[in-house]
Amino acid sequence: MIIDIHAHLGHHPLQDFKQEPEDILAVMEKYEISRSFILPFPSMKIKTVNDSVAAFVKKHPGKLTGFAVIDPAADDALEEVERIAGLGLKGVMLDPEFHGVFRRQAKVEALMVPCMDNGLPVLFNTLNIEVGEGSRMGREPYYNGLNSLAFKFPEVRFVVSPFWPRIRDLMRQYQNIFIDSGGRNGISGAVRLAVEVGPTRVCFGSESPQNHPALGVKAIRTMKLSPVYRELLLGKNAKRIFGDLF
Amino acid sequence: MDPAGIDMACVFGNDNEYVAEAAKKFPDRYIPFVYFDPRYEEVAVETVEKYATELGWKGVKVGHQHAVARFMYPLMEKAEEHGLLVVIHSDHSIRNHPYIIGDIANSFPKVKTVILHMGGGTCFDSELLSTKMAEKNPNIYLETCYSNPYAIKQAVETIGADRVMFGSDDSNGGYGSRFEKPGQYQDLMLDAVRVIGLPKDQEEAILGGTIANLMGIDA
Repeated sequence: MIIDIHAHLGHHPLQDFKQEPEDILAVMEKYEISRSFILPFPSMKIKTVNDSVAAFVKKHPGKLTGFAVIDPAADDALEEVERIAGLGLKGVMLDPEFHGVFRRQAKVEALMVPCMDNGLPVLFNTLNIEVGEGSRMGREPYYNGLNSLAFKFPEVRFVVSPFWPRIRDLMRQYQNIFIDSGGRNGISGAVRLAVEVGPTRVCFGSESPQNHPALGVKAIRTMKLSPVYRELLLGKNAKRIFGDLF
Repeated sequence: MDPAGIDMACVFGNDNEYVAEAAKKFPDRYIPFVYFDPRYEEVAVETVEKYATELGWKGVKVGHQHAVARFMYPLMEKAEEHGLLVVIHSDHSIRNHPYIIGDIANSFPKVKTVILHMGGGTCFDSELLSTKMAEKNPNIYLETCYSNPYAIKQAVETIGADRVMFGSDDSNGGYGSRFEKPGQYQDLMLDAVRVIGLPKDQEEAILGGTIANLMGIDA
């Protein structure tokens, strides 16, 4: 069983990446991915991209789980969380770089209340903290931000990249932090976390279309890792942790 | 190399003599490149000249943090003089950024220059900027290891497969050692090209034709 917890739909406003619904379905079928979490790209057209994800996942409830992007700085951010929950979306994506999330910690923390009330996990869309916003702000705001969120909102599931600053410390401290492998290049980091911190909270996420799901799956299947751990990473963890969203 | 079906490899390391011994032992498998270490200042450039003239080596490897070195321009002058292929490590840092390599290559348009790793693979912006640099500078070539199929496909569409080449960046105790069996790491890197579904001739160019042409090897 393969579950991909990180596939983007649509186009990125700043980078030349795009992925259409039929692209996602074709790759899922070809590489036997039984379920994908569908995330919009970060956007300032919040309602438009969230509606697109909702419409897509509604057509394929047996295969897809939809997430919404939320801009914590938006005046209607809290209302948008309630709206997307009503649309049938099952999680919230925050993009620290695009929306400057960790410069708005108080607003982000307020957002966690409707996320908790609706059982929505919160996924941070980052690949490498050392570039982009992380390089401008330094890595501490990322560590401090997640440290605060995970402590104050223990019922909310937080999903982050294996490159998150001091992720080992955070995972050991908080059981509500989970790892999204982030494609082939994140797999080695994810595998290390599975070995060093534990295999039960690390999940495969392709970060497609930037990364290709086939490479991430192959990396998990061929890197040095117990076969039973491989199955956890490829899908069993995601089913156990996020099965209530399916 | 054998389990992954790789016939030949460009090899380099900070011990040029070790590379020379390996290339002498397996002349049909290894293409030796001299390692440029600017910490030795003018001696680094003299070393490049020595291997080019005495052993006939045709390529130079520039490693991490060296693309901004004070002796990069003398190196490029030497490369132009001897017709050497210059391959330069890249990533998203200021010292190895594709912009830096693009600027160097732009100053030496006769020197064929390879941006290794297309910007590093951990930052999509630097991958895409590698292609931009190659688009603006016909003497720039791109090497694919760590890069994602999306970026490789875009590079092929922009500059053509005959300026893109496969690489694995494996080494003793390197990334390959994290895999269960020999060759699996290289196989994964090869898949980054294969999954794109390029026409056969383009795929063959990336997997060997491009570098064979540059090095004057019958593929």
